[in-house]
Amino acid sequence: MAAALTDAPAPGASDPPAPAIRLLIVDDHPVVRDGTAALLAAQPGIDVVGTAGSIDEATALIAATPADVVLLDIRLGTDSGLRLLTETPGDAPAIIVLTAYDYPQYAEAALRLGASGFVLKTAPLAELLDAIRRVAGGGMAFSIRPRAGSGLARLSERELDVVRLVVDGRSNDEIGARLGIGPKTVESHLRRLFERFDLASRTELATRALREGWLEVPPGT
Amino acid sequence: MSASLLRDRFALVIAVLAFACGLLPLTIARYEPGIRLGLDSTGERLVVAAVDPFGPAYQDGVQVGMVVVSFNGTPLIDLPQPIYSSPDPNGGQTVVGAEPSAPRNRVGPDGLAALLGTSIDGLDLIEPWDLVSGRAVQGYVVQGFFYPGWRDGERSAFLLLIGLAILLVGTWWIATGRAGEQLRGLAIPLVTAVAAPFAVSSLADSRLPLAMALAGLLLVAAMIPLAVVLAERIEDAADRRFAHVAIALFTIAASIMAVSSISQPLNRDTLDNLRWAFTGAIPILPGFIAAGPLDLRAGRTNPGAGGLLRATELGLAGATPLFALAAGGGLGVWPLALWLTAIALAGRFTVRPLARLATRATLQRDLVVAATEAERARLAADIHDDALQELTLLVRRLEASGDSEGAEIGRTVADRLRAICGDLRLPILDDLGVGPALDWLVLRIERLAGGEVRLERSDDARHNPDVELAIFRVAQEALANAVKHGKPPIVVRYRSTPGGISLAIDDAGPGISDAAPADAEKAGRFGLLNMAQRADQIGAILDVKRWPSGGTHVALEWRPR
Repeated sequence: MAAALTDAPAPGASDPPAPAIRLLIVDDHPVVRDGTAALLAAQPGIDVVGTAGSIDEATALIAATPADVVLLDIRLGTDSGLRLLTETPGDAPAIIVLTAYDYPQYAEAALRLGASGFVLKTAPLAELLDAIRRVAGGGMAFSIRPRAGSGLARLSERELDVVRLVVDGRSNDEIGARLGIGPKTVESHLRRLFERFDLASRTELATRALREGWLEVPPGT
Repeated sequence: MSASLLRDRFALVIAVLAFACGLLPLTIARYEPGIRLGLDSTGERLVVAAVDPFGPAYQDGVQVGMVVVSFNGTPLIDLPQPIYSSPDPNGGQTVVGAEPSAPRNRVGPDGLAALLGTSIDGLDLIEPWDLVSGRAVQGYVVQGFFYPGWRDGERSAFLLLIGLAILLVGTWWIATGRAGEQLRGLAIPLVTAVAAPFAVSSLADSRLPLAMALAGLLLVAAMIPLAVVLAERIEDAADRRFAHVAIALFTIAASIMAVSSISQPLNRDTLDNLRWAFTGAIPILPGFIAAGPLDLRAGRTNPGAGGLLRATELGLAGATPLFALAAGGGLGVWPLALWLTAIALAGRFTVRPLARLATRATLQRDLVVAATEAERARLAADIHDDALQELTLLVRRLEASGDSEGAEIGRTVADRLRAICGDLRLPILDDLGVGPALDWLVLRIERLAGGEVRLERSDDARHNPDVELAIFRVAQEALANAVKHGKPPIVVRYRSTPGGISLAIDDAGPGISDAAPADAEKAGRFGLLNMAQRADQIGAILDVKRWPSGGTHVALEWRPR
């Protein structure tokens, strides 16, 4: 997989930028997949360059086909489409999660895992097209607003480790020793977290992390 | 591991020691009464010349100077027997003389001297003054003493063989798991405790105080490994400490009783019975505590069929040495044989069928739960994968054709179908785990609760889908109960780490009553039972209680096995 990824040309590197948005569709339901593809292909400025029915197919497709936007279904048989979000590298095309479920928890997870958009399958076509265009232009498009704070807690691995130990009630020295970094570094991590989330104390940080599920593990890990 | 190895070695050493000591009286020592005979000053009578103060004869009251009337069944002295007159008309008789008129030796000095080297099986003894002052009319005070050494030797050898058979066959039987899975680990300690009484029975039967004391101490030592191994099976730390103290106390008491055999007690039977009881009690108490009957605290979870069987096995293992110990009381192998037969019959016709029944019931329950969940998941998948997807496409087509009213209706139907899917099997649970699923559940419940429902969650790890589903179902049930019977604020705490999951749900209502589980079952409400079964199924511990200040507390703890 890694070899395929490095062999693949970076999007837009090998050929000049096309005026049409290159779209990939990932959905396990063939009728819906083809129907959506046909519907979108008929729209001006959109070029459906490939479709996939599973995560493995999608991974191969993304590696092989230069594209701008991926439409990703969450339920792929018994698999979770969200896994693709955790597995795609940083230079992969932008991903819009397209799902039948209007749960905010999905929107939050999608945001936290790096999706650029979240659109319901039953949303009006105009909304979907708008989302595709915005995301292709580097923007974000979430038709369900993640609740305040929650999904926005996009933390680095190291920050997550620090938060996890703060929730455990560890001191800066203990956290430093556990993670193999200096207490000063722990302090600066914490200061940045406090600023970013407008927090006053480690207790507040722990409470917030517990309430909003910051420590939630991504699917497929 | 090394501790159990050490224990097994200790038990083996005790077993070998017991057999070695048991063999000693059979090979080296004869069953000597501790009497040395000699000729009196005239050389015409055989008398007791010396009595070993540690021998059985001494305890039987044989004293130096007593005259031998008969030796190993052969009369040495004819004592005068009365001669009666012929009956008078009233039927009365009078003594008219004696035959012989005075005690008469039947064996001469040479014959007596020849007897001196013969080992003693039985003696009739008389005090010298009784011999002199005796009259045929009054009768002579003759005391009979029997020391049938060869008979005891045969019996002891037989018991020793039984002990050896128990040791070999028992170890194989138990270590291969034929006696029950629970007992596998305690094969050597258990077999040692049961075989040792047979091994040392020759010592006990020798009636030599020192040998009896040694036998008693060996038996105490043989019980200790089994007691310790049983105490290790006690789950509760406080109970385990109690068992250790009890083992120590019984060991000390039984040892004191064993050593007391050296002195000459007034009532040896009482002492023997006490020693038997104390020695037997060493493994019984930890066995019973491990089995559970002494655990007075309310069981937090149903032990299930396996638990019952396990409890029975441990309790029986602790009690079995008591019956083996009865071998020393002259009853031989019978008590143990009867006990083992009773166990075998009860096991064959009662315990195992019941356990099988219970296992089947549990299995059926789990199958029902699994089938229900599978059916729900299948229904949800069918609706989502086919109906909902095609409906979505239809909405788009309607929209494309300009029928926005039709599209709107389609969207409403899709919303309904999605809600049904979510109730059947929440997709969030599979995709994102218990934490986000609880997040969804809490938001939904809050609308019904009419007050604050708060979730504090930390999901550091995902676990087996079956476990996650069971924990989510318990949370659903507990939250439904909290809304129905309790009062907000309701607090849900969920924490998942690679080391396990803990879930706690607290409400501010009046709290669950102690009679609630029984009442609910009678009224046909199975919420609590459902929670208990779900917890049982994944091996979690469920604790439902009322805080002293009111409010129901439902806690679930799960650790991966």
